[in-house]
Amino acid sequence: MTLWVIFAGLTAAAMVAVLWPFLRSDKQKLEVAAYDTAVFKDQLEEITSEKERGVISKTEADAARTEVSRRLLLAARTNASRSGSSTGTRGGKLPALALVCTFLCVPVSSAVLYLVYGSPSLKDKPLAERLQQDSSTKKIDELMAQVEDRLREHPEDGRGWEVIAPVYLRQQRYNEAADAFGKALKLLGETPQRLLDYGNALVLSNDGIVTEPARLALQKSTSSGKTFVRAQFWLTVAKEQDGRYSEAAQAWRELLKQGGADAPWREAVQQRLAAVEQRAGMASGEKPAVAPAKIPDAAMVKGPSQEDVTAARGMSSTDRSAMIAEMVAGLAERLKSDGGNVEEWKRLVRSYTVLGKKQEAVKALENARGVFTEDPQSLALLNELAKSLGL
Amino acid sequence: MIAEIGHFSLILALGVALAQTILPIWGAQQRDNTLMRIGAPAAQAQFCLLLLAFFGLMIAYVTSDFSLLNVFQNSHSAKPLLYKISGVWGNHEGSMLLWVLILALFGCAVAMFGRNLPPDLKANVLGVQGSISVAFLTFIVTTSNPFTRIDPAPFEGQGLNPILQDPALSFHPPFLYMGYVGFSMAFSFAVAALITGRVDPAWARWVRPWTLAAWMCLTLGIAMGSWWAYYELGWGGWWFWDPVENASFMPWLAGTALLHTALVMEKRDSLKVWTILLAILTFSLSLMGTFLVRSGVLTSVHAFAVDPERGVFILGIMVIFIGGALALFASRAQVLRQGGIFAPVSREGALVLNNLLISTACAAVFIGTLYPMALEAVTGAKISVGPPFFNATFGPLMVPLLIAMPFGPFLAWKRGDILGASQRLSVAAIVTMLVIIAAYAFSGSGPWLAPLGLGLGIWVIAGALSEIAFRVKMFKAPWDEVFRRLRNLPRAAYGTTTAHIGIGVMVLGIVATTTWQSEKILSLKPGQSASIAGYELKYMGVEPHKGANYSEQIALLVVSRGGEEVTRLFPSKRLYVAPKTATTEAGIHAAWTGDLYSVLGDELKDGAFAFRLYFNPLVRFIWIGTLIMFFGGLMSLTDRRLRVGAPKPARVGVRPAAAE
Repeated sequence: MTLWVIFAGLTAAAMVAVLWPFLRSDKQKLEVAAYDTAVFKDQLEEITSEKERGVISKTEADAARTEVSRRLLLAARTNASRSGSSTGTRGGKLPALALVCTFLCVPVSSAVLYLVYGSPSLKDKPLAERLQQDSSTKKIDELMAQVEDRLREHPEDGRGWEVIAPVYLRQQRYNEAADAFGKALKLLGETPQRLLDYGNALVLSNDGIVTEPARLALQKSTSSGKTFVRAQFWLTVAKEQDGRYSEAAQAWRELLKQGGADAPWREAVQQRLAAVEQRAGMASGEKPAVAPAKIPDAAMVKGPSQEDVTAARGMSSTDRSAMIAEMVAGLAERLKSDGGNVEEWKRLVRSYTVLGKKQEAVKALENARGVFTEDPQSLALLNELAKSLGL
Repeated sequence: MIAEIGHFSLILALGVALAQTILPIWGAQQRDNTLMRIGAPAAQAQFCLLLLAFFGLMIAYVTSDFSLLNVFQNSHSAKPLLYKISGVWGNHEGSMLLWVLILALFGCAVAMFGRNLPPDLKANVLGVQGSISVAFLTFIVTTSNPFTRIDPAPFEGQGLNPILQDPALSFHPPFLYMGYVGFSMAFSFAVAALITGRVDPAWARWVRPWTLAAWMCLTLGIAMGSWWAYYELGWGGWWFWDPVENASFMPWLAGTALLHTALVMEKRDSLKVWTILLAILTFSLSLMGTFLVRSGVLTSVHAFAVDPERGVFILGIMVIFIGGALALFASRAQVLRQGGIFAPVSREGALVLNNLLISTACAAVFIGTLYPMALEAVTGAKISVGPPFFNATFGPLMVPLLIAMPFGPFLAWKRGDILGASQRLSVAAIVTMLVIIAAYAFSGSGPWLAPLGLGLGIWVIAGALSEIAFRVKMFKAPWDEVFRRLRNLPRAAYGTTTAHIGIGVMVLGIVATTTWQSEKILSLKPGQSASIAGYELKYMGVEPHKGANYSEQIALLVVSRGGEEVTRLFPSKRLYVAPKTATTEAGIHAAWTGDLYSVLGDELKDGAFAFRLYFNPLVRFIWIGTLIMFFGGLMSLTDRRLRVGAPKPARVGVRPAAAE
């Protein structure tokens, strides 16, 4: 309500200001030419003063004065011939009409526009005020903002990183999650669980590709004797991605044996097993395109939109490979024409690797290096990628 | 509530601007005094409302109110206060709001200080100014609304691009916009003159100082941008002929030309039609600059085609205003009474030459900027017109301009004496010759054109000083007379001289730094040294450091010359938190002879770091020159006296020197 009162006050003030000339009528008649002569008279005065100060000589002053006087005369003559065109206030219908129109149109149109674009029901939400609110009403992201704030101050707080990392993971902010898990791991020491979490986040942040650091972390997490299905899963995916299909198939089978009949991941593993067996069968021949098939944490593909991903999930595996191959080709085309940034190039190289097109991956890497010859930072990133993919 | 009040003020300002457009112009047509008088209070009300809106947005930024989409996208709670404030105009929506705010400020100035303007001229000017407001406010409200809310509000913003978090760049846009938008004043006056069909003497009296003010702001704005690019981008360059830079440089060139013709018009009542055309063109180039930067067409013509809403809107505004004004010019220009006549060799003639050269240079920049875009739009081929094109076209046009520059002020109005002017410039010519010879002697090997370039700068400076010397009869009259004359000389005359000296100083800087720059790229391990331009740099090591919203690695370089320590440089690499971006901060040591410029590169094997080292001779002269130009403008601006150009009488002035 207060808001609308303020709006009304603003509108009224603006209307009074705009329509002020109606309230205070000005009866004097204004001759346009009078303004011209005023300027010329000022100029004549200026000439006199310049001459007195010795800035211009007498001859120059005289010449200038002659010119200005000539203009002054001309203006006076025009003035006489234009005398009918002086302005004045007409009391007629015209201003009254304008008055009414303005008074109606401006407030109404403003109100309508505001109702279309404005959000009168929303209060201001300055951050400081929100952070002071009772903690029981705080939502996750509010708490996160606080934790993030604290971590900026104290990056050595391993507990903090450990608390925030799973939240990042749930929000699908995989890069941040991997970073946070990594820091917790470094600061609090290695445990199988932490190694597993770190490895898992790394894989997800790399679009479902098991990079070398991720593989090492996962391997370590299982070496303590504890068995994590998730670690085994990714390690098997790593075998697939290395092209060791028969080993992968073997590992999938073992995994199925371990889990009960009602394990939630059973179906996913069975599908992968089928795909791998098919590939292992023709392994000696030409390698078909290998898609980073369905992984439990979905959202592993960053490039395509959510719809694409949903669509891909419903497709048969050949269709899916075709779609992915198409997307990769599109990306390659685009990067060729407009250069792109280093992240996009990395994605391209990775995609080729996943598709099993090692030669193309190497070629794309070379091209990328060509693009970023003058950018050591990007080159370093590319080298890192090449190392982790074993190219 | 503050945000919503700001939003409503913005919309109300649109309504008021609409009234400001229609009523005064209608009143001027009907010769109705009351309607005409509405323009002034409407302009003031519009300005107040926009100020309210702007402050509303600023408060949202300062308090990190992420319920505004614009604040969420462009701010972060960990950002220092200065950058929270500058974040308001560091993005598309906010900068457009600043744009109209400044537009309204200029309209408000006409309303408040325009008492000596004929009422119908004033009404038309305010109407035209109002119509520009209407166009841009509609654009803001419908396509780029900074007050769009999000609910629920996120808890942290996405941050301002760290490369923009810099003091010089914080104040670069306001000055740039003061310049861009300031030219709208000249535009509105030009269109108003075309509507009324006459160019009042009060016209030039008003247009000259306001164009000058806009020009000064633009000069400073461009200089800040260039200064920022120099120390922030880490390549040691100060001008890249980048389309964004060109977008602000073209209005500056046209504005410089306009400034000079406006002067002729005020002093001599001639060149009226040309001044009006130039006023229209200058603001058109400002509009085009806004379009180029704001539509996204620069990043990629294709990106523009994909999301064209904003771009097409600004394009529409451009077409309507530029096309409309030019059409009006075509149909009404012959109605305007031509002013005084003058001989080809005269002060007026010199200024026409100035205009011709500057306009041609501006056209060259225009082609170099737009041709690649047009080509990409038509054929899809991407080409880049780099510095070579501009150096080959713009450079040669500047040489005759600079050579002719000192002659101008020596020529009398109406009819001049080129021989006499040359005689009075003989001292300047001798000084220039000596400098060129000395430069050849000292530079030894090196580009053979460089000393000539230096000579050009000296010629401009010496020529400007000669003019003052001549006017006060230095060395010719007794000293007390000289002092009396120095005191009596109008500030405007000093302003001209100062601004011209500024150009000369800038030319010296440009020539020296482009021809004699030295550059080294190398890797250093702690304890190793490198040498450049007589300096010895010892690399001591790298240390991590934390700032408010970034962490950085700072390298220490101990700089010595001839065994004595001169200074310590701290080039660093920063990694910002939000958004995650790396920037480089150059370590710069400024000396009179030039800047020692160091950039920290990447970490290499076994603790070594890559470094880029530059020595840029006299590079600071470039910005010192622009500052001098700015102060020249300021001197002239503070001189509130009328400008009258005294012509040389036809028959009396046979012996000009004796005649005085």
